Formats: sequence, structure tokens, C-alpha cells
Amino acid sequence: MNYSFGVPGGAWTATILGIALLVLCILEHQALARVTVTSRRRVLRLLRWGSALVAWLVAVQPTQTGPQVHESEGRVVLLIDDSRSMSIAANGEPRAAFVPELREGWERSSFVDVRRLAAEMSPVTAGESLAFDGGDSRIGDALGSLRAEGNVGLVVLVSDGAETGAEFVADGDDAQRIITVPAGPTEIRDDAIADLEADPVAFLRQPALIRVRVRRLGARGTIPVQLIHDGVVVQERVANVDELGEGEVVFSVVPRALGRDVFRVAIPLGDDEAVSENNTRDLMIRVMRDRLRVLLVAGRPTWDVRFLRAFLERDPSIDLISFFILRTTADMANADPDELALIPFPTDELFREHLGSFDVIFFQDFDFEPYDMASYLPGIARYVQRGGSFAMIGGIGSFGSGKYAATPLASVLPVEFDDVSRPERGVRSEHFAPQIADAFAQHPMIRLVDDAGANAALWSNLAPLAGVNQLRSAKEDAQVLLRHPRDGTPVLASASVEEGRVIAFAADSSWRWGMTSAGETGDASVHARFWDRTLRWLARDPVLEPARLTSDQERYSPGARMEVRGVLRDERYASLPRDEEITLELRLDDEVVESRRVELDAGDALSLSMEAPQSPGVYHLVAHGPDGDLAEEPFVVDGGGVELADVRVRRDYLGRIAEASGGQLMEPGDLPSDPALLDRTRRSVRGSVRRAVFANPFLVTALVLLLGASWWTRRRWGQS
Amino acid sequence: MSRYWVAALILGSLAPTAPAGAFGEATAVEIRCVVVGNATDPHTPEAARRLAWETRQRTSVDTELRSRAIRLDAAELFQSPLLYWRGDAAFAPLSEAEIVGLRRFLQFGGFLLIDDAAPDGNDGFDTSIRRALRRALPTSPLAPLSSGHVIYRSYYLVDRPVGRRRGPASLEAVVLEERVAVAYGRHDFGGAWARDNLGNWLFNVAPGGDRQRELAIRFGVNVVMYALCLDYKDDQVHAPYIMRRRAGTP
Repeated sequence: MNYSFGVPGGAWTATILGIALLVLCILEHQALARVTVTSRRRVLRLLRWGSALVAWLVAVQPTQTGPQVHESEGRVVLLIDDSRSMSIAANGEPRAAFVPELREGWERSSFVDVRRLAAEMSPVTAGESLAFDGGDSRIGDALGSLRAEGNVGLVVLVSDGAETGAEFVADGDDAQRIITVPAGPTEIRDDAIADLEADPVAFLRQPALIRVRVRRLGARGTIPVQLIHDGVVVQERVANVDELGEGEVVFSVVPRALGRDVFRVAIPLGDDEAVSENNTRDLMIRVMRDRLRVLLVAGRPTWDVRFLRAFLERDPSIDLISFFILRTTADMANADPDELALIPFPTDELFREHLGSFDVIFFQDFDFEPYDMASYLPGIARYVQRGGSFAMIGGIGSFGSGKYAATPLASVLPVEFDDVSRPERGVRSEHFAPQIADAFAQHPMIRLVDDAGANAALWSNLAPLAGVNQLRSAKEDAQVLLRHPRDGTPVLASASVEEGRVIAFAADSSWRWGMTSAGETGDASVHARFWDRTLRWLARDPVLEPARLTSDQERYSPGARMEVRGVLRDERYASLPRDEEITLELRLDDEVVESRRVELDAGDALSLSMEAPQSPGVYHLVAHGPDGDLAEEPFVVDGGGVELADVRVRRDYLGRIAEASGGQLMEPGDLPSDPALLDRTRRSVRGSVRRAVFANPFLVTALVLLLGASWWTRRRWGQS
Repeated sequence: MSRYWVAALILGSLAPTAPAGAFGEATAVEIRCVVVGNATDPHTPEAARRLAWETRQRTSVDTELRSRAIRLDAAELFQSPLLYWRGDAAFAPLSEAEIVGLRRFLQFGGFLLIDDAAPDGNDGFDTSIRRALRRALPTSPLAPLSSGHVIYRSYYLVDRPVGRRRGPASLEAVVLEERVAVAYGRHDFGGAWARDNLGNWLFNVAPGGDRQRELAIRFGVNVVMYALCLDYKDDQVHAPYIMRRRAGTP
């Protein structure tokens, strides 16, 4: 309520009038001192002061302004928290044990609506049972939604206060009162993994931190925490629980594979704990590369080697290790060794000790025989099979000219070729313009610009290549991207080999796509574009994969909403036939738990919403086509989740909700069996009202009477 | 002939031959000679051929043993990234097409070795070269090249440039995007490299004689190796080896 004065000038005028009347009263008070009879003096003074006060009130017109409250009888909403935390048992009884009996009595009333509350609020029909298995309890959101319903006067919230969304904030004009009914005892014994936090992105072979916060209720001491990876305990720490019942440990892990990596954190489960699901949680880390580690080995300096190395070195995201053979046994340097800036070729260091640390290995015009490399080639083949990437680039020392056909590298290369007795017999030296293989025109190594017509023009305007290694054919599972125009033999081919990737590029003059083409067309970019795409394809850049899937989060509560996005193309990067079935599967431990057909849009993209499984675990989203799996992405469904991370009954939060709404917190046993006994008046504010507090005839009458009495007594007692 | 040369002849005949060209002449490294105006100089192509031969003999680089003349306004300018420009007299200002050709050649990745063969005190060629480079690359002037630059250790460990003349202690260079695109010396390198058809050296080398000639050849090989490898020798993995070896060099 606000107060003001109705007299023109408001408080100022009222004050001035008040002061004036006060002064007059004081003067009159002093003048009446000459009245000798005490009783008469008191009466006269009382009449003076009373008259002045009433006159002032009548003159200044005090006014009260406040909301105009409309009261009506509203409906009652019995809002029951249906989340998993309500099923927690204490003293052998779940928290929500009293709810069925309460509902039975209340549902008979015509003015009571029963609703369930979890991630969203929804009605409950009479007789429908509640499972208390919701993944979230968004109390604030639900109460906010009820605020907008115009016929609800009272909300009775039955909950343990385990808020997983934004907390309720009262609006000063709330028409509804809220009675909160805490479910569950205050005292509870439980250890829980309260929170898991990891670096949002971890880098391959770089330490990443996992922070674990644990909470202990109803006991003291320490909690041992285990970190588990691939079913094996890899680290263990001990958390010291403080006076608030919380403790923290930090693990450091070094990821060894790209993509999503899953860890599990576990604490022991005591016999007396209320909840078991919050003693383990799965964590997913997204592993990326910070820098690509590339090894370039060249058999001799050539222009092609020079321009490729310059391209690789320019890229700040690449750690380049390069070795060029500057001198062979046949070269006569005509100098003592200490006059030469040459170092031994560290074959053992590169191809045994550090082989696995490279992401991509290039052999460019490199003949292995003079350097006793034969014993290292099987290791390089295994490196590819285990996930490494390898590229052989042409020259007199490559492919058949380099006598690789009889080596283990031939088994991983995507092309067939024959060893030759004289290296020059394994090459052709004429200039030629390679042809794009139509089947793989969409491959990112060939599709250098988006527009197909512009891309074709780009390739047709390139300077011709000078020379090519003789290759017989491509292997069955290889992708031939460029062919020789004369006989169709492969010039550029790619393939996946078990976990790894390889390319064979039978030319050693791609540098001409840079400098020479630039001299003719002004465009020097094609060399860099081509090698950028090639390197990123070898390194499995997700953006260049023909099919990819992703979920909006890496971890979900059971039943939570998931958004799935993806692009699905075949291995030729062409659109999948629309008349063939494409399914999205949900797999747990290689078992399909859910499958649905999906439709792709014109851009080969898919987009859908779905519900996370109810059971905790590590799941895989798999896009499956007629020829097999197209793309895959893991995610975790949390066992305990945020919902069970804190199992305390939040009486403080429930109390604040009740107080803020003008309601009250009531124990379950205090709720009446008949809801009609509760005040369900809906008080809604409809504008404001102004009321002159003393604007009534009685005050004016009183003023007249006081003034009259004052005049009469003065006359009667001889006072003028 | 030096004893090293004799040994080279003997051993060279016995050692297994290196494989023939990369893809033959298609990708072998050619040192082409820049021609401007109507100037013809029979010694420059010979010097380039000799440098190519020395590079082929001493290193794994496969070189083209012929050296074609090329004009800076020729369409074929971009077929090979290495040019050699030797002169001993002033020349007329280059045409605009030649300036554009030179600029594009260098900016697209080409390397140019400029060799002032004029006698001491004759600045005609020097003046003309500086004028041409200023026009072609006005924002990238010639500047002295540090004695620690990788060009001095790209193959041989050399302390300074030398040619037929001992000349200045350092090269001058134009650097584009951390790469030496133009290396300029006033030492008449080609004069130290060139032989006649009978294999006799065309010019005497002074004051260091045969040793200076050998160092001039080594420097030339370093230039070719730098053009092909750029700062490869600066790679961290090589630095400790080279630093240890430098400490032992007199």
C-alpha cells in the first residue's frame, strides 16, 4: 500500500498546513493558560487540538493507493514430483510412499487436478500410477507454467526439492499460493559422485584432467575414488570429505585415440546407502589433435619435394619432421665429412622408436634399398593397419622403380605394380593431364571447389604433370581418383587398410599445379588445396568424412531428450539411393536396442529428436545402410545423473518456495484428507485502487461538532 | 688437378651409378639462364652447365645438363623454378612485361641467383640489376644476408661467398615470406665454374687459386641445394648435428 495526500501540492501543502495549524494550536495552548480552572483549561485545550487535527485531516485528504485484488475460488493442482529421486527408500519406505493414499482422497474432488512433474509437467488421470522414474525434476519451470493458468488458486507441491532446472523465483503478483510438502526424511546415509568435470576438449597424447567431486551424507571420513578405462582400474585417489560432506580428487589421463573416449568413475557402495546408482558415473571426453605430426622422407631434393615441404611447413597446425637424402653412396662430395652439413639418416629412430608417434608418413621418391630399410618396412605396414596414415608419392625411387612390389608395403598400398630391374623402366616421362575418375568426382581430394562445373574447369586448366610411375591397376577396395588418359592406369588412388589410410600418387610434379599453373592462369592455389585436402583426408578430418553422426550432448540422463544430426553419403561421397532403407540404430554392447528408419534431406543430412534410453550405460548411435554401417557416435546415459547426484531432501528450497508465494510448508501428515479444507482462493490483482481514508461525512460532522463545542464552551466560560 | 679430383675420377668410375633422372628430363633440375635485351654471353650457359654437372656429381640432386636461355617475359618462365642471371655490363631498363614476369616468377616460388661478373670498379651491371629489382619488388629491397643464413650450410659448410673474385663477405638477398627469392653476389661465381670444351678452366681465380675455385663450386652447389631445400637444414632436428660440426671446423 502507498499513501499520499489528495490536497493540491501533496505532501508539501500538507506539511505547510500542518505547521500552520501547529503554530496556531501552540499559541492557543499558551493563551488558555490564563484559564484558572484546570478542568476548563483542559477541555478547552482538548477541543482546540482536536479541532485542528480533524481540520487538517479534512483539508489534506490522506489517500491510500494499492492493488485491486480480485478474489475468487480457484482450482487446486496437486503437483507430484515423478522423478527418480522420489523412489529413494529411507527406513525401508520410498519417499513417495504416502502419495497414493493422498491421491485417492483428493482425486475425488472436482476442483483438484493431479499433475506429474519430471522434465516436463503433464496431467495424471485418475487411477494412473506414477513410476517415479523421471530423469529430471524441473520444479521451477513447472511452477512458472502454472502461474500462467488463470483458474488455479492453490498448488500443492509434493517433492523432495531435487531441482535440476532453474530454481523457482516468485513474482510479486502471484495469484496462487503454494503449499510445499517435503517427501522423505531429512537424515539420509549416502555417498555419491556429485559432479564430474573434464576439459571440454582433450588433445591426443596430451594430459587431460578429470575432476571428481564426491558427497557424503550421514557419515564422515575419506572416500576412495577409482578411474576405470576399458574395464580396467587405471588410477585411484582418496577424497577427504570436509565438514560440509564434500571432497574432490583430480585425475590426469593421456588419450591415445581420437574421437570420443569413455571413462568410468566409481566409489565403493556401502550396505547402508540409500542410493546405489550415484556411486558410478561414466564420462566422455572428446579427443582431438592439437597438431598433426607428419614425417616426410624424400629420396632426393626435387621441386616436388621442395613445394610439398614448403606447404607442410607453412601450416602452424603441423609438426613436420623431414629427412631428405642429400647424398648417396655414388655421389663424390669432394670434401671431408667435417666440411659437410650432412647427418646420418636416423632410420632406427624414425621407423622403430618413434614410428607410432607420427600421424601421417610420406615417402616421396624414396628408394629404401641403399639404407637397409627392408627390416623396417613390415613395421610401417603394421603402423598403417593399426591406424596410421601413409602416402607414397612418385619418382624414380617409388613403386616398382623403387622395388617395393616385393615388400610388405605393397600389401597396404592401394595399387598393384611390378618391380623393374632398371628404375627408369618403371616410369614414363611424357607430360599428361590426368583424368578425374567419374565414380569419385565427389571425393574431397578431387572436389577442390564446391561447384561441380567450376571444379571440372579447375582441373582441366591445370598445367600437365611431367612423368608418371608405371602402375598396373588399383586393388579391388581402392578408390581410383585420377587416371592416366592414355591407358586408364591409376595415377592417384586411396584406400582404407584396416584401421589406417593410404594413398598412392604416381607423379612427382604436382608442384606444377602451383607455380606453373600460376604462370598460365594466375591461380597458384591448386597445389596447396590439393595437398591440404589429401592431408586432412589421411588424418581423418571429420568434416571430410563421407558419413558422420553426432548427438548434441555426450552425456544424458535416462529418458532425456537427444538431438541427433548427421550427413550420410557412400564411400564415393555420392548421395545414398533414396529408395534404399537407412536406419538409425541404438546399440549397447553391440546389441541393437532400438532401430528406426530415417530420411535424408536434399543435402544428405539427417536431423531428429529422440529419447535417451532409460538404462544407464555407454551407447552407440549407428547409421546403417544396405551395405553396412555408415557412421557411428558414442554417448553415455548416466546411471545416477544430475538427479541423483544430491539425494538430500531440500527442505530449505521447498520452504523458500512456500514463503515466496504466501503459502506454507506442510508435513505429509498435516495435509487434510479433504482438500476443501484448504484455502484455494485465487487472489488476482486487477489494476490499482485509490481511497481517501478520511473521505466520509462522519469526519466532517466531527469537525463541525468540535468547532461548535469549542465556540460554545468559550462563550459559556467567558472566553472570547 | 687436385688429388681430390683424381680420386673422384677413379672412384666415380667404380662406384655404382646413381639412378637415371627423376622422370628423365621432365623433372630434372634445370638451371636456366636469364637473357635480357640482345646480350649474348657464351660463358654464362657454360657456367650454368658446369654448376649442374658439379651438383649432379656431388649430391643426390638430378640435374639437367643443358642450360636453356629464358627471357623474363616468356610464357615458359614458370616451367622451372631456378634461374641464373649473370652479366658484366649495364643493360637497358627491362620492359614492363619483363618486370611483371620477374615479379610473378619470384612470388610464385621461383629462385633467382644473380651474379655480377663485371670487373671491380665497373658498376654498370650492378646499377641495372638494382633498378630492375626495385621496379619488380618495390616493397622487398635487396639487403645483406647474414653469415648465419642456412644457404651457407645447405650442403657444404662454407663461411662466405666466393667466385672468380673473392668479392664482398656477404651476399645480398630479397626475402619473400621468409624465403630467399633472390641471392645476389658480386663475385663472378660463373667465372669460377666455367670450363671450355676440353675441360680447361676458362678463368683464373684470385687470390685463392684452386682452393678458392673449389669453394666457389661448393658455394654454387649450396645455392642449388638451398633453392631445392630452402630452410630444411634449419630444422631443429638437424641443428645439434650441425652445431657440433661447426665447432670442429677451422
